[in-house]
Amino acid sequence: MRYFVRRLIHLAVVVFAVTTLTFFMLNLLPGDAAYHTVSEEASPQDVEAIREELGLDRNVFVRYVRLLKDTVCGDLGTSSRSREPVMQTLMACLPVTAELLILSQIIALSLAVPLGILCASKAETILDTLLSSAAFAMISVPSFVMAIVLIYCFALKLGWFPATGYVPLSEGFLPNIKSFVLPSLSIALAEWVTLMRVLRADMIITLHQDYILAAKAKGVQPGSVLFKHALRPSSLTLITVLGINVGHLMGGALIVETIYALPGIARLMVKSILARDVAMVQGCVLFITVGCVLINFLIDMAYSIIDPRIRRRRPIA
Amino acid sequence: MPDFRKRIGLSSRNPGKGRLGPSFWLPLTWILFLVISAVGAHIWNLPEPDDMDPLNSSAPPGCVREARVGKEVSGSASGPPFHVLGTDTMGRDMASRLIFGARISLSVGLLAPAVGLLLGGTLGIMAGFYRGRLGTAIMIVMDTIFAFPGLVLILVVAYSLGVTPTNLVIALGILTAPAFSRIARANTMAYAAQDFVLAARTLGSSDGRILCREILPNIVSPLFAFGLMLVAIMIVVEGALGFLGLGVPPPTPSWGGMIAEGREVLDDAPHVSMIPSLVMFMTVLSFNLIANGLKRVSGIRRYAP
Amino acid sequence: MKRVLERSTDSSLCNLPSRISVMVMCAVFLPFCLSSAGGEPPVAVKRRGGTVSVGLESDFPGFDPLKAHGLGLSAATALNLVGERLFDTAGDGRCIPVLGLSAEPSDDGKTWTIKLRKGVFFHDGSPFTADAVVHHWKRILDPANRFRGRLLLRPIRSVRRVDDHTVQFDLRAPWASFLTTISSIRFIASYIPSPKAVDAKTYDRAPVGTGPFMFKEWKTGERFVVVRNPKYRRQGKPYLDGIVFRFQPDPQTRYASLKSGQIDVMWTDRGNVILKAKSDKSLVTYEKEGPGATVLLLNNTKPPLDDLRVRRALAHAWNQDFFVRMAAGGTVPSVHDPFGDTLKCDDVGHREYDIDRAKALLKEYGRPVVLQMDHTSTPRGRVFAEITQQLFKRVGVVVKPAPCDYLQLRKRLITNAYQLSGYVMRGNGDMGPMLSALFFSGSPLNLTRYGQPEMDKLLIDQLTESDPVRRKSRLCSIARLLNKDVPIIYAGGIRHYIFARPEVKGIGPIDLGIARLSWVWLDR
Repeated sequence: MRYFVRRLIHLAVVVFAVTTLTFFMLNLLPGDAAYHTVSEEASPQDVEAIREELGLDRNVFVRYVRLLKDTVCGDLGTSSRSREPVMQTLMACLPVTAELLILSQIIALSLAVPLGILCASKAETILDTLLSSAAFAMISVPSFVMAIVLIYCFALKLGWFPATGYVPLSEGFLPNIKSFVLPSLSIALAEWVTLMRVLRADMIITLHQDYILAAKAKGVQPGSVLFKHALRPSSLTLITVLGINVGHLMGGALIVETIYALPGIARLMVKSILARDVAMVQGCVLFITVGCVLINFLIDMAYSIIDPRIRRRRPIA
Repeated sequence: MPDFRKRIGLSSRNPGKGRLGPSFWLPLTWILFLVISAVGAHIWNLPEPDDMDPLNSSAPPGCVREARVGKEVSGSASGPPFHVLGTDTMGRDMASRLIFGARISLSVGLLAPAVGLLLGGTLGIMAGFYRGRLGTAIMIVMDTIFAFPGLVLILVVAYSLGVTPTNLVIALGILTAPAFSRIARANTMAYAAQDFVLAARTLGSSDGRILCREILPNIVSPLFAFGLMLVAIMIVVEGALGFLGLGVPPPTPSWGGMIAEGREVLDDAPHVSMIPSLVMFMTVLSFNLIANGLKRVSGIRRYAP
Repeated sequence: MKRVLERSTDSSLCNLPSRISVMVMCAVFLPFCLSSAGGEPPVAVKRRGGTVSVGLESDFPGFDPLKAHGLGLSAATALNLVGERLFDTAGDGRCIPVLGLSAEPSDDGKTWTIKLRKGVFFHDGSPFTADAVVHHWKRILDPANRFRGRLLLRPIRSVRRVDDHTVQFDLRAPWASFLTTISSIRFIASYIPSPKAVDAKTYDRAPVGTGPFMFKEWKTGERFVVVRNPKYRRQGKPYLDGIVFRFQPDPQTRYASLKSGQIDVMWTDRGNVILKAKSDKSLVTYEKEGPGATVLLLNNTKPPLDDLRVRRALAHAWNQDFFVRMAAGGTVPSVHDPFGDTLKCDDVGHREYDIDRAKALLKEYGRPVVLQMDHTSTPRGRVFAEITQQLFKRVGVVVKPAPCDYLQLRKRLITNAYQLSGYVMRGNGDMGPMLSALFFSGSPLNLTRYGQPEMDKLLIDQLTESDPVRRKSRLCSIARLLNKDVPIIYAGGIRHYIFARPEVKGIGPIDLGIARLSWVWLDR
């Protein structure tokens, strides 16, 4: 329990520092939200008036304290760009990013787990070498290059999926999934390699453990040995890497959301930064950071399920 | 642990363990080729990278340059009579743009990790050696940078200072510093507790002397190995920024920018995107292979945070 | 701008005869006004029902004039269905009654009396009366409300109700563009909102008007839905059950969606998409040249651009045909004035591409010319800068592109802290007000800080001149002067493109790039 409290405090400090830094960094950017509302034909007086309206004429620190107070009270404020409540917009964008990330993780895992097991069980064979080399090549493909290649092959040449664009769930499940296949693949294909390598390494070690040898000696089917006995204890590092990756994924999500024109949270953040929509950027940063924290927390939980011995002994960064 | 590490890489099965095979020399040749092309870009009599050939936009590799046909609107006529790798959407020579773009990609790729190594490495050693308030403070700063949305920093740099290769290198260096600092700290802590450091201390060596003579030599190689891995990543990041329109300003070409520009004509002229994509892939792969090879040979294990 | 008017008042007192010729530009009395042109097939042929999807580039900024401050092309397309204006303009400049029935200027040209249509109701049930019009226009004109477009409206002194269905606008001086300005399709204040919705502060994100379609739903960044107004005053219209606007920022996506039938109508201005869509026989192309122009702004106060020789040299170094081909795939025309198809001038003395003259002028200037060009880091902005850099490089002028985000660019433009920048001169049926705003020496919107007494005089003259022929010659003189003094360089005119699937019938004229979808029907 104390461990969790301490972690919570540590995280609170980091979240606070990140949002503070974001706020002041945004203020360093030339131009403010008033210039978003006006057009080129505005006079400097118009800009000043709008600045007043948005409360931008007040001191940076005053504004920051106010924002902080509102955030603590659970009010994320109103977007200066769309004049919609920040919460509402975030809630609209969240499912898009969530769907993208979840689908990509499912694809990555469904590639990594079977291939990782395969490579581990056939370690040091030609099959293993070939697969590992292919994986090594794949990890060297930047996600935007992967996206371009996927669009070219599967959308433009084969026409299986739409090239870009988002179809909301309200327009049918299949079209929705179809619009997510290529974006998720773009992320998954770059990521599964790491997962596979980690699983393969852990699996090799597990396969040399006595209890596996004992199971084999008892005549348990090889497939059953791999999936029932070896997979669970071998997936510790895999899970950790999944957690660490969540942070990186947001960067990947930005590129993918941009290329495929998905209205997700990463793109919302960039658009809001460009519009100096401070409230919205803060909302995005908060959501993303808390999201990462939550996922890592869940992964901590997963540890104790996978290996009950670990419980509360191992602090995971 | 060492046994485990050996098993994961491609290396463990390599019969010539400890020697560098073609999977090291081939990529090194490619990188050297790129470096030589990029360094001598102005000597090779290339078409200017910003020279637009209005009759040949998105032209396939090998097309005849308009400058050689008539010179109604064209600029300079230096270089070969063909567009060796074709042209981009604005009729600019792809080969020339790739070579000039390599200057940016390579210098950012190599220098940003260097900055990160210097900055993060130094702070990490300090944090590992002087644990206590200073160490905690350094690590909190590093954690904050680590959790900070890098894009915000990049945007601030890009828009308030302007994107120049120098600014890009510094910004990316700062963003990579936390990872270096963690490695440096972990390793310093491990070595600081070892007997030879204690021995040096009992012999009355100063902190500075212990750091430089006893600890530094031991942690340089894991830092260096991590830095080499980062080279590939930084090239990708620079490409991504160019792709998002946040790269170096025109007319300087950047690989990521070239790939992004080709998106519009992906259907009719895929080479405009695909050629720079391929070059980028080969370069990233090469750096990965080189890093892998060196890691294997030097037997560095303690590189991960 | 204030000065414009004071001086224009003076000049009108000095120069004009006491009786101003009556401006019967829009004094149309049509009790049974059927606005659309004669070519339509009879109603019986048109099918009722169905929904049309429209792919737009950007989401709307909102509809309350005091909050959104402007009306983009996308938003105008939607607002034109929900709201209605007092008058509409036909392609030839004729005025068509919509909510207003007639407009008549007083003898001195300073008062306009507008008769309003009776028996019209807003979607929320409140009646459309003179009060609604006055409520709206008072709000727009109130200086305390700081409506951004008010500078264009400065000639209007006040608005008042005469009776239930008559309003009167008082002007400070005779103003030739009065009617076209207050009912322009791209002017956010043209659309009369329901006073109830405005007072409830809901109008911004849920517009209520009198139009053939009613607002139903707006999901930011995703869709905007309008449905048929069953109580619309014109029997049998509109034909469609609803129209869905989908926001698809990427033009390639929009095109692919149009091909696959996910959307039925799309707008784009990207050259390569236009070329592809135009050559596609399964789609119908609507194209129309319009007023306005893409221009390169030269900041006249920043050396070396304060030297006329340098500006002229740049104009001669500029190859507009090359630019248009490279930046837009030749899908927009090269232009010599900003009037598009609304006004044809004989010769405006455009400076043609002539490298030798450019070099000679630069030699005369004698010093090296190095310029910074601010541009957005979007593909559009980058291409503009790259071509500019390339073209000027050929005469030895160094252009350093400086990418920034649009907000920063805006700041630099407004605060006059730039040297070169691309800019789109928005088209309007009447370019006069726009020109006054951009080039009058005292105007705060004078982005190039160009100031010439001759230009000021011409701008005031065109503002008050009521005789169409003389006004035209004034406007052409302005274009000529612009080419002579080069505060701007033309980088292509405007040609609007709308692409639709063949079963979508009845898309109105796409003046100013706005697809008129009110009377669309589906032939399925």
